[in-house]
Amino acid sequence: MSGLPAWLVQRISALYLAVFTLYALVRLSMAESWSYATWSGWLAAPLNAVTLWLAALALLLHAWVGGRDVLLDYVHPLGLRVVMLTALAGWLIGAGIWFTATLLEVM
Amino acid sequence: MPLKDPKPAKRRPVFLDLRRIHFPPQAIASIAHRLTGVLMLLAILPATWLFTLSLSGPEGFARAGQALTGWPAGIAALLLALSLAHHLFAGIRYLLLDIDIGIARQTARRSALWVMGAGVLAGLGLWWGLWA
Repeated sequence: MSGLPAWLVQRISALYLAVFTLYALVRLSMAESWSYATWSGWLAAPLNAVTLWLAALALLLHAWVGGRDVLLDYVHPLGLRVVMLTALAGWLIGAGIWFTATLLEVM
Repeated sequence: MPLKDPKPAKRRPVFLDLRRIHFPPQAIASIAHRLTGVLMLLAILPATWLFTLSLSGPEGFARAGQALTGWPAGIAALLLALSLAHHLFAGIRYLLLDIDIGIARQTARRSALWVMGAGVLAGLGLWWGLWA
């Protein structure tokens, strides 16, 4: 992903993340106390799970475009660049799969 | 790859008086936007681990809570709270700049200073509210 698609993805994901972050902070400050029951119960509601999953997707896409930009700007030797881009992709895809698996178990 | 200048570098003016070179606030906000982004990127996998742990059962939930106490976690939380606040405010500033709002140099300079000031305050407040 590069050029205009990357630019667009970066901004659309930024908007979603900005709104979601503010919502999450308000929601967190409203809760009196957190327990395993309230936490897993909150995530068992499909709307909450989907909203959170979309936020995770937006976060991973956002981190990929941003991290890729940073690596392309500062890491010039081709071999090292490929290794670091691969590590970045693995880091994000791994987190995405792990997160999705956990979420599916709770739902 | 950076292009190599075929001409010798000798004729270029060299001005490296560090007491007189200053980055403008816009540049500092920009570098901080990148740095805070990288910092939060590095937190993604540990955060996923905590998320999974907290949902593995009441015992795991308690262990995740324990993992967040203590000063190493406190420092990480402080850095991440500051990062989130700065990254969010600076990001909103970039979205506005994208649509030509605040593009004049003096305005951009002022908004960069505001973003950094508000980022530090909101970051400290967030850390205080959620962690401390």
